[in-house]
Amino acid sequence: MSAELIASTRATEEAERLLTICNACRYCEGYCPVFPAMTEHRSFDASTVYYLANLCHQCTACYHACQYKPPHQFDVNLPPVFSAIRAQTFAEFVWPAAAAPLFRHNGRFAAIVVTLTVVLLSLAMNLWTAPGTLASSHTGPGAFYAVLPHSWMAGIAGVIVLFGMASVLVSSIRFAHHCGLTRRHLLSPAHWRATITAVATLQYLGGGHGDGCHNEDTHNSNLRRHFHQFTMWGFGLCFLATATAAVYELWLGRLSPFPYFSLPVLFGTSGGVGLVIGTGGLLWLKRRAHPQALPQDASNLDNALLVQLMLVSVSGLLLLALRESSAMPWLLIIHLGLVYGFFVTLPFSKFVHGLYRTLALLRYGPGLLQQP
Amino acid sequence: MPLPELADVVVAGGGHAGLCAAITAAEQGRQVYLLERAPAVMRGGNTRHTRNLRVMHDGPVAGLTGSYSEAEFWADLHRVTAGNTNEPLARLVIRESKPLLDWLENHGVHFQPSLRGTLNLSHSNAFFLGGGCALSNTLYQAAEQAGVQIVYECRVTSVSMEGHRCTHVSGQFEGADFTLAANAFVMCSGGFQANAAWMREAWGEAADNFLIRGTPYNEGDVLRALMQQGAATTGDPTQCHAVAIDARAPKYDGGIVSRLDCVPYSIVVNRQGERFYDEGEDFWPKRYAIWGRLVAAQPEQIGYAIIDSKVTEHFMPSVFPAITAESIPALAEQLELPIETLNTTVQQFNQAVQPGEYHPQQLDDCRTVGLTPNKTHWALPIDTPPFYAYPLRPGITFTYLGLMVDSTARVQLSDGNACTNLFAAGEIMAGNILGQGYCAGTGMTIGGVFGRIAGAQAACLPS
Repeated sequence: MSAELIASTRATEEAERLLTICNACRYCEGYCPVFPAMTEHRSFDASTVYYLANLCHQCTACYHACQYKPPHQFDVNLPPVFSAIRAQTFAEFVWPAAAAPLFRHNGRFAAIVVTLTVVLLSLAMNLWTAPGTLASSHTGPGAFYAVLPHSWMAGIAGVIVLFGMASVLVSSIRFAHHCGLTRRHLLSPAHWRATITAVATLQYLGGGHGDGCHNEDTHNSNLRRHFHQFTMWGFGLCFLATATAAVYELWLGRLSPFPYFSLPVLFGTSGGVGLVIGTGGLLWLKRRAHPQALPQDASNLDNALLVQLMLVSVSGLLLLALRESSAMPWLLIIHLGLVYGFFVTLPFSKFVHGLYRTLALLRYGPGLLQQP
Repeated sequence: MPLPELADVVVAGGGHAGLCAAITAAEQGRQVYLLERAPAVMRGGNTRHTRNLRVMHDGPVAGLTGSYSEAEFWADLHRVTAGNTNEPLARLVIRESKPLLDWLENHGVHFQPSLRGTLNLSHSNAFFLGGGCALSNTLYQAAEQAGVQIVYECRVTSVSMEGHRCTHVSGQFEGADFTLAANAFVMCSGGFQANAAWMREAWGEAADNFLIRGTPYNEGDVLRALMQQGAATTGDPTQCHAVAIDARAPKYDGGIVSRLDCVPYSIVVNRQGERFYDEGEDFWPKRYAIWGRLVAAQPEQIGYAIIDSKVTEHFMPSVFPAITAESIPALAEQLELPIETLNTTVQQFNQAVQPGEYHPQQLDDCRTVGLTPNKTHWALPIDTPPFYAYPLRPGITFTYLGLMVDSTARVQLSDGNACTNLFAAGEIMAGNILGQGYCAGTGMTIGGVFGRIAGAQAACLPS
């Protein structure tokens, strides 16, 4: 048995042990869907454990409320175990399966990929552009394409994004199938309504009462929820910026860079600012997090994604600010390199937690919780 | 934190009652020291293991359904204690329970609808979101905010009196002896159930087989110190909240997960393989608190609940796996019970079962006739293998022998006088109201109501 498999078996066995205790207690029933979903079972096989672990938002309310947390001999501490199991599910269901080990050293993997994409793009541009192109300013419509032709810029992005989409789609289907999501859940408007509400409002980072979850101690705070909102909606706005830019270029015949008050720039700027606030805030909270309930060693996946998103958004905002200057060509190359790197790693990053969480919530549906 | 030599108010014990007292006194501008024997991570006494309090109320509030009147609350209390209660104090607790609920909510405590499997309590008991540990976390935060000085790992072992006045407490803190004087003292340090020697004094050797469901820190140091100083007591040292729990639970602190809800669907036999009480007398939440004493009265203080595979899904899952066998003799062998007797007990039971319509969630008509004792509900033949057994032991929550108090929470002396500046709240005085028996959530209500009274009284004493 490989070291990884042994570790994963241990996490699943530990989760079964803990859930048997939790299921005999049930005091945490009001916090989040994990516990009501747990009560549907009397024993916990791997697929149930995967489902429950992906319902967990790691708010750590259950740790702080637990009378059996260490040093009690029952040694109950669910959040880090669920965190380890989520990482395990990402690896287990990823397509292609050969990519599974990438989740183990995710920070190193992301660093290598991003370095490679930035360096390779820089080298290529240095070799293939006309002398002086990268040292001078370019303005007016099509200025970016004077540095990197549109077909190349979009072509590379297209290949990477299409592969990424195919990968996360297959991975998600595999996960959904394994965790028991059925046609009944998929066709239920009530399940969709509950899921969309839970995802859009990050309801379950509210602590069960809406006052927020725990980070460094037992104080309730909505900070994590809000920083996560900045990150999630920031990412969404950047996606929207790219989509509107594509519409402008393909159907309206208008070429980037767009004016500051055009839709793509407004979406992109607000999204970028949101991502900087969100990822910065989440990284800051993680540094202060409770060492037992939110241990740092399990956060390799989180940090890799957050740092990448931060780099992409900071470089994008810099590019926007300096797009009229002679720094534009190199800023563009670095930004594109970071964006390409981000999308290459995306299917093999913490990004997939959003999909798995949504699918788990879809299976859970309206459940039994009435929460603010 | 260094201890001073003098404080306005000293509260001994950081459970629900102590927190309510400390916060109340601090909010009235007093400098309060809360002395908690446990380290911070194990703080809160038995409050850690609680989950609700019983509240009188007129309409839906804090997850409670319907209403629960003073008359109903009093009738329940009167029934379970068989009248062995102090009516004025009991009615004080009942009337102050709703203001206590509001006070808790104002201090950040969140409630939730009653947990699944406890729906029969939904109109009388308000459930803490996340349970008692979450409640105590919130109250510790409120205490810090109110300026209470919280001292962990501080054990009070003696109390000094001059006449009717308490002058100081002393004990151990940070490896050294300490003495702390104060203008007023509130004792909220619980019963003595975790004191094995004292339990043996009360129960004899049987006590060695009891499990303590809650904190290992309630050894009754303050209770004994005050008894030696002439405090009047109430209740009998053998009276306590005792339930039947899984015999495999840890000696201390097993809490809620050590419960076994299978009894009404089972037959329970003793070490000799014989039944001794009507397992189906009533719903388990109404009966579990008598089963501790029932098992305590059996040889070696142990019982075995035996079911067959028909009913395994009808009760809350247990934390310890059932002991399983394909036949009753094989089960008897595993449990080391007399095989012949157990076989006969099961056969006689099966023959005595009358036809009826089985409803696990209702008082059904499945019963036995001609047995001593009969099983009056949920009696189905035990005939479908595999067979399962859960061992039962008495699990003690808290003892009822307590300090006698008046309606101002003042500790009474055996000479008939009341202490001027010494108050008690929580399990250390719950015996005033609970002479025997129990109804769920009453302990937390007594602790909170008397904690607030004691804190307010302590705060308003002239220095």
